[in-house]
Amino acid sequence: MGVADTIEALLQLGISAKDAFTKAQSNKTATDWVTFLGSPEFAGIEDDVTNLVGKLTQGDLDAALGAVRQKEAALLASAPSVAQLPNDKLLQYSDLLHTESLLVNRKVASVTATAEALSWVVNEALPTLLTAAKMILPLLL
Amino acid sequence: MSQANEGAVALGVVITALCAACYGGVPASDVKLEATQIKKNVETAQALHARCVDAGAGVAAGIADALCAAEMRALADIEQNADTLLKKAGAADGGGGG
Repeated sequence: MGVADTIEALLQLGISAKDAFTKAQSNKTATDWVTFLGSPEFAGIEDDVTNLVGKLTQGDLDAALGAVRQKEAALLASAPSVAQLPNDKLLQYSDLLHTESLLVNRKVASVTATAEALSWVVNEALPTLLTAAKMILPLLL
Repeated sequence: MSQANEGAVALGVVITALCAACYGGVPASDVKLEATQIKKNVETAQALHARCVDAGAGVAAGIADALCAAEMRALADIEQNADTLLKKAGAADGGGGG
């Protein structure tokens, strides 16, 4: 899977899971991510989640990490240090670094449980990608 | 918070994370990955902070806001990088904390 596809899959997964989790909390069928897995709201998105999670292999996340680092290096090649990047390039670098931090945390945490994985996608990946996707997707394509 | 204080907090977080990781059985490769990430985030937060402070001197308001927001995000990422290691150290230690 391409890097842009990986980020898109993370975004889709995050939006879908957040929407269903919010509904489950509102309907009082779930209080946390573990009970959410037994809720009818999760049952409604289970096939989509399984499909998207299946697409997000460790290899895909590593490839995304590599692509983000390549773009960081390309930006840094234009200046002697981070501090000397012009404002627009510094903001681009900051978005890339933010995404890199997210992917590194995921790699180090090695979370495999579905409840934890969904919590990570919704609480960490989704806010990061919603902020950074507009800036980084064109850079990674 | 002053830049010096931010630096001190960041350094404290790094030391705490490294100690916890060392005693918590976290693989050295994971510690290195997160430590590298923390270093990059500290460097970027410092660069952003300098621009944020200078923002009054002729930088457009929209850009200044974006620079300041990015600085806050880099500082939050430092905490998150350290927290990931601390959690992993806790898990490796049988859930008994780092």
